[in-house]
Amino acid sequence: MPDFRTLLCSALVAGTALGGIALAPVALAQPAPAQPTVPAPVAEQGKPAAGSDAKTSDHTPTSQAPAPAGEAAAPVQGQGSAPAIQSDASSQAASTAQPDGADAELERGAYIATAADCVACHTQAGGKPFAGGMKIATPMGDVIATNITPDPEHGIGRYTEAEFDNAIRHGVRKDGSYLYPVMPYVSYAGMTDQDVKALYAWFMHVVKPVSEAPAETNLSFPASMRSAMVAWNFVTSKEQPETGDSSTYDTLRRGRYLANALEHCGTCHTPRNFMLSEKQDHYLAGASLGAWYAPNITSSKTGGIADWSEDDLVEYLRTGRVQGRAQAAGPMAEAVEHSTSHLSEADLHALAAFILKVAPMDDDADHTPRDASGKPVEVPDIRTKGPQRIDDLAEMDGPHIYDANCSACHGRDGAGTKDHYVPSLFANSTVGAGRPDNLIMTILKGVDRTAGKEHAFMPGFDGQSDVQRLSDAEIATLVNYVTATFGTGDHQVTPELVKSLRKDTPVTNPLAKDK
Amino acid sequence: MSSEQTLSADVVIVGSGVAGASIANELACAGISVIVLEAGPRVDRQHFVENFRNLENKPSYQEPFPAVPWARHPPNQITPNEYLHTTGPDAEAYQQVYLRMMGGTTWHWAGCAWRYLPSDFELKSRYGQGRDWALKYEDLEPFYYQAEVMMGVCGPDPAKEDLGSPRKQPYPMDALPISYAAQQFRKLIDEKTPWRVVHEPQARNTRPYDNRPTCEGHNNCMPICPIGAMYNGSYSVYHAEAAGAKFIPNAVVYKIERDSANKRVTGVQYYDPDKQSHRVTGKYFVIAAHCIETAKLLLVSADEQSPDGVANSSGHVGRNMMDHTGVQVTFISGDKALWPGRGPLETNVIDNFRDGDWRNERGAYLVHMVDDNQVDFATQMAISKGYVGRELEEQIRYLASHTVRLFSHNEALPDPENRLTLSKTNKDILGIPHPDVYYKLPEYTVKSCEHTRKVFKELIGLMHGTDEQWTPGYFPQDHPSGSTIMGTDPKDSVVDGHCRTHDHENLFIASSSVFSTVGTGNITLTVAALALRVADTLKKELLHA
Amino acid sequence: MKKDWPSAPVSLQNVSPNAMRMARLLRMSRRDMLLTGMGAAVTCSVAAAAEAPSAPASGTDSVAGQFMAVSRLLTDRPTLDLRIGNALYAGIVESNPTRQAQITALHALMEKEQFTSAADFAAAAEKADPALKDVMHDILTGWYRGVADGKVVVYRSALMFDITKDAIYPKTYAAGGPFYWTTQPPEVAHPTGHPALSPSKFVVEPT
Repeated sequence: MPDFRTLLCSALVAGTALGGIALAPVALAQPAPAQPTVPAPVAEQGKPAAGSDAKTSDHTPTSQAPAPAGEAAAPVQGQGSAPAIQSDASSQAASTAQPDGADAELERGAYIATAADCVACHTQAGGKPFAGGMKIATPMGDVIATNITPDPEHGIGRYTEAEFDNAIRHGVRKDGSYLYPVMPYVSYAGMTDQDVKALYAWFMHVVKPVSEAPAETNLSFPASMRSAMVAWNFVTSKEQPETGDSSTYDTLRRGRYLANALEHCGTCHTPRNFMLSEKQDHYLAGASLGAWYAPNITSSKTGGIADWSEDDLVEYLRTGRVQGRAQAAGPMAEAVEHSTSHLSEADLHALAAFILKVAPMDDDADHTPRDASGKPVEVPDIRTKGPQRIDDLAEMDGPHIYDANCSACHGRDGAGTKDHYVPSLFANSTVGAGRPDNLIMTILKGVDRTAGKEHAFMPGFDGQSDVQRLSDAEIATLVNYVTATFGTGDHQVTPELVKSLRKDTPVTNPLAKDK
Repeated sequence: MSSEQTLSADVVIVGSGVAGASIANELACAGISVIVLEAGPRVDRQHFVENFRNLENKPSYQEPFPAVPWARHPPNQITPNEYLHTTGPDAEAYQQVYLRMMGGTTWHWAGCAWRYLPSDFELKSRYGQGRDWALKYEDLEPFYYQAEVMMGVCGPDPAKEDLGSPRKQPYPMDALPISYAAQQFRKLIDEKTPWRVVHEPQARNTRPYDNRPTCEGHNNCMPICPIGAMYNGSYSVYHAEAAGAKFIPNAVVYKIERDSANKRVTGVQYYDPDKQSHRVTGKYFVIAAHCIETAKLLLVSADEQSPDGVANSSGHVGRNMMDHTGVQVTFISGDKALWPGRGPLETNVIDNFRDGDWRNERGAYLVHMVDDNQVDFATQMAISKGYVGRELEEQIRYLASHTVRLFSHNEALPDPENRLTLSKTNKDILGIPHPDVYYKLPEYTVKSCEHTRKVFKELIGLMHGTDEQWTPGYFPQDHPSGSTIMGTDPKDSVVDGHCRTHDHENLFIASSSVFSTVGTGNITLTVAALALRVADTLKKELLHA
Repeated sequence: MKKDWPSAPVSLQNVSPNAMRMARLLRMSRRDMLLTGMGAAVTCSVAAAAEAPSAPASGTDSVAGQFMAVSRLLTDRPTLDLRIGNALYAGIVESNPTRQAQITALHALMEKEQFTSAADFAAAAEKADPALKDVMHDILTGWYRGVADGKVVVYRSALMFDITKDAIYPKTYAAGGPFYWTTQPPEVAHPTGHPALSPSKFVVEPT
C-alpha cells in the first residue's frame, strides 16, 4: 500500500506498466456510453448508483460526442514521441471513424493523461486501466482511488465536460461533494481549458469502460465528512489556470506548466504544512513520503541538484537513470515508467530547464551534493573461514553481508557493471544522501522500472524475496557499511528504523484462492 | 518417545525439492491443506555464496553445502563416500551427490530444462530396449509447459530450432544469447561436421521474471547462482508457504504407516534433530524425497505387514537405478582464444545423438561444451608444468583462454541388479541406515560411451587439441532415477502412470525414481512436470470427491 | 578433500546450530594464533583489512619479510600486496614445519646471486635443492590461486584473476552486465616462454 503522498505516483506493481495496458483499439468506433433515460448519479466512490442520492443528479450528460472539429487543438510539441500506445489506439480508431481535428484532440488528451500520470493512482496492481481500487494510505486512513473509466454506472460515463472540469481543476464531484485532496486537483487546477477538454474527450472515447465498483473510501471522523474538505480547499493554495494553447508556450512556460499543472512534481517533492498543504516557499525542497523520501530537487548547490545539467535531467526523466548521479526507484520509478519516459524530447527539455531554475533551498540533511560522494574501494578479500554448515545462518558483518548479497552485481569495489545496467554505489544519490531512507527502501523493495526498452530490475531483500530475505539487523548493518564505504559516512541506522520502514504487507501468493 | 500433538493435512508431502515444493504450491493455491516435511534445514543464499568463495576445491559443487548430521547427504563425489556407499564394478560411476535441505538439489543444478523426446517414453516398443513408460509424451506436454512457466525457462524459437519435443506454446522466455566460445564451437560443428549445436533450454532468466533478476553470467550456476537468476526449489517453497502450506524443516521421516488392510497410508512419523518422534496424518501422501532417499524411506518403513518395505510387493523398490553416466575430457585447443566461462555454465549442446535407430543397441547421449571458467584450472596446470614468473602468467592466460571441456550424458537402462539397499553397518545419528548402491554400467551405456569417446576424439582433432585429460572411468551426472520404477504391471513396477503406488491407493511418488527409462538431457523438468501432474490428480480427487 | 574443516560433524554435541557456533568460537587453530601474533594486516574482516597499514611485516617473524622478497622475485613483480602476503605466509608456514627454513634458504640464494628473472632463480633453486620446488609451488599457488595450506586465503584478489581481468571475471563477481559474454574476448598469442622447474604430476579432479 502506498504511503500518504506517494499517492499520485504510487505503486503499480510490475506488469501493469502503461505500455502493457491494452486500451481498446476500436474504442472510437464504439458508440459512446448510452445516455441514460433515467438520470442516476455517478458512483464516485464506486458504490452502486442505485444506492446514491438521486436528488443531486439534476443534470444528465448532454453530449458524449467528441468535441467539435472546429476546436481541434494544434498538436503538442514533439507529438511524434507521444506515448506510442495511445497514439496507436487513437490513430487506428481515427482512421476509421474520426475526422482529423478530433483525432488531434484525442492525441493531445492521451498525452495529457500520460503527463498527468492519472494511471498511477487510478489503476490497481493487476487491475484494469483506470478502474480504480488502489488503496492510498493517508494519515487519516485509506483513500481508495475511483473508477474513472467512461462506464456510466461505476465510472465517469455520465460526467459532462463541465463536471469533469469541476472535478479535475476544482476537486468537486458530480454530486457536489468535495474530493479528498489526495487527488492533486490543486495542481491540475493549472491546466488550460483546451487541455482539460482534450483530456475529457480522451477519457470518454478511448478509455475502455470497466463496469466494476472499487471499494469505498471509509475515513475516520472528521475527514470522513467530505464537507470538511471545503475548508481545506479554502486554505490551500491552488495553481492558477493557464490560458491559451499550452503547446505554443515558450520553453520555461511550458516547463512550468508540465511541472506544476501536469506532472505535479510538488505533490511529492514539496514539503507540506500542518494542514497538509504544500509549502510554496519550500517549492520542491524535499519531503518524506512515509517510507520513501522525495529529495530536494531545487538548484541548491549543497542540498539540491545544481550539479546536474539539463541533459542529465532529461536523461533521468526519460530513462530513470543517469550513471554517476541517480536512479529512480519506488514512486519515482513509477512516475518515470508511466509518465515522464513518454514525454516528447522537447517537453523533457522544457521540464528540465524549468526545474533547474527553481530557487535554491538548502537542505536539513544533505550538505553536499548527494551524487558527489564515494569512490571505488579495492581491498583484498582475505578469507579465514571454510564452508559453514548449511543451517548456519548466523548474521554476518557489514563487509560480508555486502560481499554475499551485493557484490555479485554492484562489484566488490562498488563500481556496478561496465554497461551501467547495474549502477555504481559511489557517485550515487541514493547512497550519498544525508537520509538513508531511500537506500533502506531500495534494499527492501528492490527496483523494477521499465522505460523505453530497458527493464531495470534489482530484487528486494524483504520478507517476500525469493532471492534472499534479510533481517532488520542485517539490513541496518548493510546500510551502515554501504554509506560508510561509498557514501557520506555511517548513518547509524538501527534495526528499529528498518523495521519501521519495512511495513511488509502480509506474505501472500496472488494465485492462491481465498479460503 | 513421541510428541502428543498429531499434525494433519489433506496432503502430506515428504521432501521440499522442486517436486515436493511445486506440488505443495499447486495444492495450497487451490485451497487444499498441505504439510511439507523436509529432512534438512531452512537455508539461505547468502551463506552459500560465501561458502563457495571460501572453498578451495571450487569445482566440487557439493562442498559448499556441508550437511546437517540428522539429514546427511554425500559430502563430495569421492568414493568411498562418508554417506552414500557405492559398490560393484562401476561404483565410482554412481557416486551421486544431492542436497537434503529446503529447496533440494536444484540449489546446485545448472538449470538445463530439457523435455524428453516422445521416443524416450517408448524405448521398448520403438527399439526393443528397456521399458516403456506408463504414459506418453502427449500426456505430459501440458505439464511440461506448466513446469516451464513455474521455473521460468528460456529456450529457442521452435520454428528456428526444433528440439524434437513438440511444443504447443513457445518458451516463456527468449533463448539465452550464447557466449563467444559457444558461438565458435557452434560454427565449427556447423562447418566441419554433420552435427548441430542447439541452444539449451534453461531455467534461467533472460529478462526479469518472477521477481528475480536477469542472468548476469556469473558462471556459477553450479554450485550457487549468486543472484537468483536461475530457478531453484526454494522459490516454490516460499510460494507454497505464502499460499498457506505448512513447511516443517528438520523433520526426518522414517516410517510410513498403513491401515490394517495395507491398502492406504494413514500417516508418517518423523524425527526432529533431538530424535523426538512426531506423527503426521493425512488423506494423501506424496514421497518427493529424491530418487535415493525415496527408495531408502520405503525400505526403512518395512514391518511385519510389508517385510520388504512399503509399496514393494513387486520387489522393485530400490532396483533399476539409472543415471546419465558419461564421459568427460578436458584439452587445450590449438585454435583461437575462446575464453570459456563468460556467461552461464551450460548453454549449448550437440543433440544429434539423442535419438536414432541405433538405440536398439546403444544408448543415446547429449554432448555439452561446458562454458566453464578455466582460470583456476589453467593456473594449477601451468604451475605443475614448471612455469614461474612472467612465463607462468603467459601460460595462465593461454591455457585459460584455450581450455575446452566436453562431457556427455549417456543413457542408462533399467537393470534390476543395479540396486539400492540399506546399509547393514552404517547408520546416521537417528539410527537410520545409510543407503548402499550396487552399480554396474549397462552394456548399452558402455557402448554409448565408446561412441562418445570417438566423437570427442574427432572434436579434439578438429580443434587441434593437445594435453587431453580424460576423467578416469565414467562420470556420474547426479541424475539418479528408476528406484521406484513406473509401469502398468504391479508385478514388475512400483507406480502407475499417475505416479500412484500400485500397492497403496493414496500414496504417490514424485521423483526421478519413477522414471522407466532415463533418456538424455537433464531430468529436472521431467521431474517437475510429473510432479505437477500428481498435483493435478490430487486436486481432481480432493476437490471433486 | 580437506579434512581439517569438518564438513559434517557427526558428534551429537555438534548437532544444533548453536552448539556448532559455540564449538567454532572455542576452536582456535595454531594458524589463528599466528595470524594474531603477526599483528599487522591480517584480520578476519575485509573492512579491517582495508584499514590495515602497509607497513612491512612486523619483527615478530623476520622470515615473513624474506617471504615477500622471494615472492616478488618468483612472480617477476616489483610490488605485491603485503596484507595478502602475510596471510599467505601464515598459511604456508602452518602447512609444513619445514617451509620456514626453506623460505630462508630461498632468500639466502637470492641474496647470494643477482637473479634477473623468476625463471633463472627458480631453476637455480631447484638445482641447489630439489626439495625447494615444493615451497616454490606453495608460494606460486598462494599468490596466483590465493590458496595456502589447502585453504582459501584470497579468492577474487588472487593474481590469476588480475592477469585475466581484461577477458573474464572470477565466478560470482561478473561485472559486465547481462549478455556481456556474447562479445569477442581478447586474442592470446601462443606462449614463447619455457618452464623453469621440472614438471609435476597434475590430475584433473572429478567435479
